[in-house]
Amino acid sequence: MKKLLFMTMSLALMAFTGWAQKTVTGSVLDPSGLPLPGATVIEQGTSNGTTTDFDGNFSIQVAEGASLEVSFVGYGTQVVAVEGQDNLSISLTEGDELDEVVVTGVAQGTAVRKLGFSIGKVSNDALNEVPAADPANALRGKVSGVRVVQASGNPASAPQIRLRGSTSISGSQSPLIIIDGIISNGSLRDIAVEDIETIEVIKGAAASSLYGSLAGNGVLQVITKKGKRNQKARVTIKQEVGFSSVNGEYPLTTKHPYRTAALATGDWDNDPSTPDTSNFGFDLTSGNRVLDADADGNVFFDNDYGSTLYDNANEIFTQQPFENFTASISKGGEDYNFYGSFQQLSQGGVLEPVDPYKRQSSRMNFSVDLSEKLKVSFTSNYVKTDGFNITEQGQGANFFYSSLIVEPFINLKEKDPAGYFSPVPAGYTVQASNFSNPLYVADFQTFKFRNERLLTGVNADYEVNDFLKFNISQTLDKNWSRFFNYTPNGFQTPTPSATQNDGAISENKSVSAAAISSLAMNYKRTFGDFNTSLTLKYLYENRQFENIAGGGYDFLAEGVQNLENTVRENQNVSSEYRKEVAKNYFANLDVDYKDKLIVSGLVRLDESSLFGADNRSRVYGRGTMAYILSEDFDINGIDFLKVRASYGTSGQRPSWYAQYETFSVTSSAITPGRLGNRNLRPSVVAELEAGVNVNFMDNFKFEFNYSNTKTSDDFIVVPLPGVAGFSSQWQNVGEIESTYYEASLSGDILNSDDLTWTFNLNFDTGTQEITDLGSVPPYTRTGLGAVDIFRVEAGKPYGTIYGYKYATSLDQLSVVDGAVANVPASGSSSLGGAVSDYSVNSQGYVVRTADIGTGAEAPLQIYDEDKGATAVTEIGNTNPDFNLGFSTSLSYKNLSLYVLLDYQQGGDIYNYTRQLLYFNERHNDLAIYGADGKEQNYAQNIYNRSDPNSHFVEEGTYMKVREISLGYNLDVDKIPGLNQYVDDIRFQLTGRNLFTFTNYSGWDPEVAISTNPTNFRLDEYSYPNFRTYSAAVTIKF
Amino acid sequence: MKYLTNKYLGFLFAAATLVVSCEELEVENLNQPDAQRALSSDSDIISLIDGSVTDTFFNLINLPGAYFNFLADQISTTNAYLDFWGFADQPRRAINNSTTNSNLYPISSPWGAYNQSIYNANVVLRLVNVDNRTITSGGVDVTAAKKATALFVRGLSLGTIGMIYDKGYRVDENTDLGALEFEDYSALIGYALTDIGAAIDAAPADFQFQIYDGVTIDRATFVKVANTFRAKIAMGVKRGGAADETINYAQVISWLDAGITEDFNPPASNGVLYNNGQDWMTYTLSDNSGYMPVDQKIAFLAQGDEAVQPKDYPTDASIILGPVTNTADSRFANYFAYTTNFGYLRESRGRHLFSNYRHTRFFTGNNRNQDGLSTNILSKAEANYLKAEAQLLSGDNAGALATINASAERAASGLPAATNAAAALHYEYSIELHLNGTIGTNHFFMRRHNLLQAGTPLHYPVPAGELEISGLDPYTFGGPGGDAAASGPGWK
Repeated sequence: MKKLLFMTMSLALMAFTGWAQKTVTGSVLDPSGLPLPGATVIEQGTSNGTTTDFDGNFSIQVAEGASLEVSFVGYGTQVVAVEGQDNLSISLTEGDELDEVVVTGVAQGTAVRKLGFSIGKVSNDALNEVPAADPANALRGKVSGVRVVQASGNPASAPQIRLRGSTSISGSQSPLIIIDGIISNGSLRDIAVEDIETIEVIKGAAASSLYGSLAGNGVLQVITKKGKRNQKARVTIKQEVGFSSVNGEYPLTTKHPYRTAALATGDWDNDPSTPDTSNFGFDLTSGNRVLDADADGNVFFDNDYGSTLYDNANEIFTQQPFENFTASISKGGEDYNFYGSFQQLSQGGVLEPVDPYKRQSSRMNFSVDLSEKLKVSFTSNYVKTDGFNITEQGQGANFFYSSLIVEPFINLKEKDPAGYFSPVPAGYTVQASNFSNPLYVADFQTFKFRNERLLTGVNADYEVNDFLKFNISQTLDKNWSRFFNYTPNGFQTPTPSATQNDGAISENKSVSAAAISSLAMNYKRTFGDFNTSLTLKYLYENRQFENIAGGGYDFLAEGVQNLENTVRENQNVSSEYRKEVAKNYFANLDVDYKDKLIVSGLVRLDESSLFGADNRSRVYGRGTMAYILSEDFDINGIDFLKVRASYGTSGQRPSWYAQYETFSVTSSAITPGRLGNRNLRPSVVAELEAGVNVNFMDNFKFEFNYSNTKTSDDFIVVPLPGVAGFSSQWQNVGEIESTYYEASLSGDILNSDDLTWTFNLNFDTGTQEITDLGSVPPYTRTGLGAVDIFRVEAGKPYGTIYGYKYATSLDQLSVVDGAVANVPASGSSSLGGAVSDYSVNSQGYVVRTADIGTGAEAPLQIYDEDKGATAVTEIGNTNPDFNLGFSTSLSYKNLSLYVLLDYQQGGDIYNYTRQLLYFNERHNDLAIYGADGKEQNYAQNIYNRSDPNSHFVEEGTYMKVREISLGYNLDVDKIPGLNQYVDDIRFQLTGRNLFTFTNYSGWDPEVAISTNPTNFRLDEYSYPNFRTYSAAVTIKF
Repeated sequence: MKYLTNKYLGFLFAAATLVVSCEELEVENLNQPDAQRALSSDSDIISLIDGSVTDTFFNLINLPGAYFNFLADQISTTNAYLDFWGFADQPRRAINNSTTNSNLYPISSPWGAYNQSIYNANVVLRLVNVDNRTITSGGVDVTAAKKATALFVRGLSLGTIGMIYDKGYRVDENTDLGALEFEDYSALIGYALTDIGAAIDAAPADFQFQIYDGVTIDRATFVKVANTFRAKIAMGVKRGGAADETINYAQVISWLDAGITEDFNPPASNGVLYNNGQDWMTYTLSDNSGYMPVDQKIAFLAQGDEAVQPKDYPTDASIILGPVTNTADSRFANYFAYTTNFGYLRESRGRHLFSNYRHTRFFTGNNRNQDGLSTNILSKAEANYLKAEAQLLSGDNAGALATINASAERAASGLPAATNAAAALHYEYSIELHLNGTIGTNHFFMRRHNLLQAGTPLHYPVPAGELEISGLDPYTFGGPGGDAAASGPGWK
């Protein structure tokens, strides 16, 4: 066997060495004349090649008359004819992005110019301008069709990424995240931005077919730094410190509608066992505050508080420190390269009493050529995060609810005798609301989480010959998480709590792992003018999840923080184990003619245990075509022109439980849960993408994409009739369609030796619509927040808000049987009368004229004459009209300035925070109404018993100054002594999320339900986004 | 690196390892059973139906009962949480039966709960009646016992749906779920009475009816309980609705005569069966006011003098009513407590909803979920009052008064003998049966006598979510002049 192999290889070697050989030496330099170590030098048309050494020098044996192809990452490829020369000096120019190789969405590394679909790429340079705290935020405004939404300012919460439109009604909207080839199972937030070399984004199914049922929402791949070949050890240390603070102020009122009295007028609570207490300026003679009615019984929201006022929101949302330390080292030799890093990040957010979010990350990337043919690489990233498990949405101890609900005569920072923040600060019982003092809760209770994550992968390439290559890889994404909640004995709640007051404890531990193995074969060969590449690949996935949780209440002993320290009858435990097995096969063929006409085809078969037992497999595929017109046509001013079209399918897998029939078994009963579905399949997201890439005038790049996406077999929970026993069943009945247009333009405005000025402009707009729900009648999504408003109905955009609509014109009134049939908000029946009895009030709503200025004044609701009832109708649409991102970078000598602007036009938000502040008499609108002569009940009528209505739908248009950064590179070479030890020093001042220009009345228009922040834009007492200022110094040795 | 010369073998080995190590795609759900595992053995079938008994009783004394007490002016609130205020508000509102209402719980919860029990019962009845399966426990044939249990669960659940809603589905073990039609409350109650009768007939002589594991009643007691529920459900037909509301009062009286002779009051078991309705309604805030305070109606009835205790709380903010001063009823002081604190009551939502009374009866430190506490599912007092009411409605006023005055709680109350049966029954329901019975006890009584205040819904519509599934438009009841709304003036 060995002999046969040796003979075969010898013959092959002879075939390639049949011409006269000569040795050529030389050096490769960058545009400024500095040597480039690690540059690739290849004899054109062969696989014969080498790399430059530490000094940028190379030596290679080539055939007479050969040409050398010289390339280096970030620089253009130069082809140099040897032509009898023995020594060459080759200067590379700044890179042409078209020659950059991408690895996402393609069977093997492919130059951008030869792609048949759109790809967004964020380079290391762009990431370095303002390294964000997480990779998703680093994408903002840099790629068209990409929306990054930070629905919550919670430092521990990851922003959500959306690529083009929605592809599922019930499934995830997030793209597949790949990190250095590791198909990830968790958050992108764990990756240190300083470690990232590039981010590649493929936005639709046409491009993401390679990943089949994993990638219905597109794919985002992070490629981290690897170190360069033949590079001396380089150490980089960066220290960034700063602080964050909340943006703006919430519009709260300092007026109230209650009868006032002189301060401290006596024993207001009528309880002789308690001492006299200040009355806070209210008339409390009846025991409670009473409304300040005039002689007609009307109450106006225009009284001033009589006691000391506390700005609790501003007291609670305070500046908190931000710190980020990064150290990295990279080195490379002839046959190896590595990169190692460590980062420690601490983000305090804007809440003083809670622990900051902390992340520690260490990375090691290593590649080695074990032989000329066998190359092995290894990547490993260990991340530990911990912080405060903060509560958002809901009431009670929610910081954001409490700080806005509390009236200003109460001081939430009041301390009790034990030194804790007081659970019942003075005046608490006067307001008689249901909030807990969040400072007390944070002070007294323990709510913490800790995550540990290991991302690791090993990859081996074996080149059998110039044409054939095998690849094998194994990756693992494993996550350990722990949530711990401890409530000491004696904890006080606004109302007695049997499960908390005597102490409580709960702990939840989970382990998840995604182990993925792959085996691939690549065959690449040129036949005349045709370059071909065939890839066959097998991918095996094994994902597991285990969870164990327990809790109890009523402590037996003080201070002991374990579960057995609770009364046995009050203990509870639960556990869960899930496993998914998937096998995927694909074949891909790329063919191009003279590098200008490119055709590609892909077929993929997915098999997964998540698919119903009778439907265990599904086929996906793709066909692409591109034509580089500029290769054949010389158009004045056009440097590069490519048209392309791609049609492909990908999809989404159902959730783990979806296919199973379930019963609930307890010690006392067995009850049916969800009906199983043996035919459940993954969805199919089919996309047609067409686009054009134009580089012109040597300076500018323009890209345009059109995409039309149709999802079929979308799986949704179909509710079953009450008599069915089972509550619901997952079925493949949904269809959703979207059409998107994207354009991007970038280039240099100025480019001279000392001064460069570049810009990047991205635009996208699109529409999406649910097109079919099968046999499922339209329904409103429940359980997403305090109000059920998001409509799922064929013919409607996904993100349609439903509720009651207030009439703003008399034309909107309905007259039935001679009388106005519209029911006023908060009312139960119509007021009747003629249209002439109604008018538009000073706030723009139709009301009964006679009620104006009284407590009965209420907007009329639109009436559905067909149904004979108040209409529940479309009152908003969360989808924006368009998005615009603009970044510009200006550098003069050693000074640089970077600015990123982010604009969104349209997109409605339901402001439930504002609605509940009406009820709690805390929103400044109530004072405005009071000043406008509205009776205090007018606002309560608009509140409409908490039912969703058009008054609280607000347009979410905004323009944000996302990032401004000013940098200065110290001229180290001119500082004697220092230049012996240091290569580079850079100072940077950065502001993130600095300003928001919007008419939205809440904290921030970038607010939503965190599980789906693009479709479900509901503002409900979430952690407000904050701005961060920081200063950083980076030193390279 | 000699091994590198065997690179082909290395790759082949790795590839083979990869392929061979792949597991099959069949992955079992080990966290929850499917029907095959949940109902594979006779013990599972028994657990299904016995669990349904527990669940059905729990649902009868769960939180949704509070909403009927708001509607019956037994308790009050201005708290909008879970739409409490929506049911307590005056003038009465139409039920917000819309899919945009995130608080559909009051009407959707009973619908789901009782239909679930019916489904479970039909699973067992299908096995027994259609598949002719024999169910054994410890080697003993318990088929008849479990059939009786299933029939009782189905009858009680169907009857409760009939009492709560205007219509519903009648589903038995032979029903084609693809061809369901709504039937009105009168028909549903008719089916329910048939089922409960069949349950009594099917119960073997050695029948042990399990309330929950460890607590059972024998056949004789079961028959009494079943008969009393039959009578209560039969009386539920009368409400002033559109369906046939004919009641055979003689039969109701005969059922009650064969009904319970003492309270049906199984002890609570933590997390299994406890009176969650009482848990919410007796909840007391730290200032000693009630979270769901006692409605002013009770003070009005106890005082008997509208000048001292008006029907609604005064809207004049300067007036705070004093305690009830003139009642001979010794129960009043035991059941209720006076406070000047209004707790969560908000003046801006209507001071007429205020109250100075909270609950002390059934108050056990804000936690009714404790072993051994009372569950108060069906009291002898209620059986007595049902009989008196049937006597009254069938024209036997003297018999009704005799039954009321002979009732132990009334007799021991210190009150003089009743002379007006209708008024006495309203008083006794308001005081003695307050929080003491299953969902809707007070409301159902009051609607039979048009005592509900104007606009109060007589019954619930089918929940909007259920209608949506069937492609039907939601409808609603209640509100002044609304459909199926009390015409008033009622007790006011």
